[in-house]
Amino acid sequence: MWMCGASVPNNYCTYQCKPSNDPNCPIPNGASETFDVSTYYYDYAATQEGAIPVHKHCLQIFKKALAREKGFSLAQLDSVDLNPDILFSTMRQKRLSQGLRCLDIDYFELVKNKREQYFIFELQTLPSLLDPLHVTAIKDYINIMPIVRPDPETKPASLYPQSLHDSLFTLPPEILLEILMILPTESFTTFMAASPTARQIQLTPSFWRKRIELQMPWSWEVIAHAAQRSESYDWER
Amino acid sequence: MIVLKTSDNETFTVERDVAERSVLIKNMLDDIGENSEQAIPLPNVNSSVLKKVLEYCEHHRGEPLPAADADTSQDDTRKRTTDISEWDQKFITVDQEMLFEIILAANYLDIKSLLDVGCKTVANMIKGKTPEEIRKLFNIVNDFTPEEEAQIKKENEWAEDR
Repeated sequence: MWMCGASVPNNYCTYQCKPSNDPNCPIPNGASETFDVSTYYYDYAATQEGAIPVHKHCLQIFKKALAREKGFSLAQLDSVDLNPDILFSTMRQKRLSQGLRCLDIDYFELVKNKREQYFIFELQTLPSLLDPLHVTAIKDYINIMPIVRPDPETKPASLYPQSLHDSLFTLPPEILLEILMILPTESFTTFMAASPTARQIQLTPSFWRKRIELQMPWSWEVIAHAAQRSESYDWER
Repeated sequence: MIVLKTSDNETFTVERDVAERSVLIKNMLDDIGENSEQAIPLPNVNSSVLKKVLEYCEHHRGEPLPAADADTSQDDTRKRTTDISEWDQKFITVDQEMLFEIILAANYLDIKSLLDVGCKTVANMIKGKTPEEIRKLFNIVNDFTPEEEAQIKKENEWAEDR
């Protein structure tokens, strides 16, 4: 059972709902017309028979993540079985090692009031946070995606002399690219700063694109949008 | 059984399904036909490296090979993590020179899974280290001026801002 009914998201994982027959929105004792439903479920195991309130946009994202995991195409999305157990195990795998977040979406400087968005996953709980589509920035982001402009000046071919001692130099560029591809974002800069060999590699737009597809597989909107357009985007941004 | 000959003229006799984990060798065998007794020359691989590579092939024999037109989403799932299986982890625990030679051999012999293990291992070595530690790790002489270093940091700010 998933809550997809009418509700207004408030801060901190609560939703204002109108009382209805929805099991998530029991008729309250008080006389108030609306009340808050918390999407925090502290003990999933104990409440397994109950419903997990998830609003429908989050549900879409879960579906996408699951579909991706199982190799379904976007068109088959509706046939994805959202079994809570499968979902939980997927979320558990997707979890970043530090912290409990998964499926992070970080809007960086795009949103003036910096706003991060993620699904927190705690053992045996599945809270959801903030309607992802409630944040209009993703649409804005897609519309203002940086487009590659031809460089007015061609850069010097190589800034560094070939005589550098760097044991990485023994590896051909395509292997270094592979390594850069799988390197976590936080190590990317350090590696670039440390190794002149790594700096010499030409990072093409297709590299950035592939990297985004690999590291942010849930950013389907962004990827699909770009696939429909002929411009080449500056994926580095 | 087939015979492989390394750059230092050592020969290795291995079973065909073990050797064929290398797409290069598989293609060569397909070209020269079933019953050739000829040793296959591998001029880019020396005996100590080939020994390691064959150890890997032996352990993973019989496992499905990634098809040439492998499903990309499957490919992505495989790549996305830097996890390495326990046996592979133990196998790849070698000195850096050997690690690089294994990577180069896997690349040359076209053994995708081994190449992956190698790349992931290098990525894991880099993970969580400071530039100084990375330089030490790979014997890199730092000849960046402070200005250049600041420039690199600036260019890659997107990665730091999280």
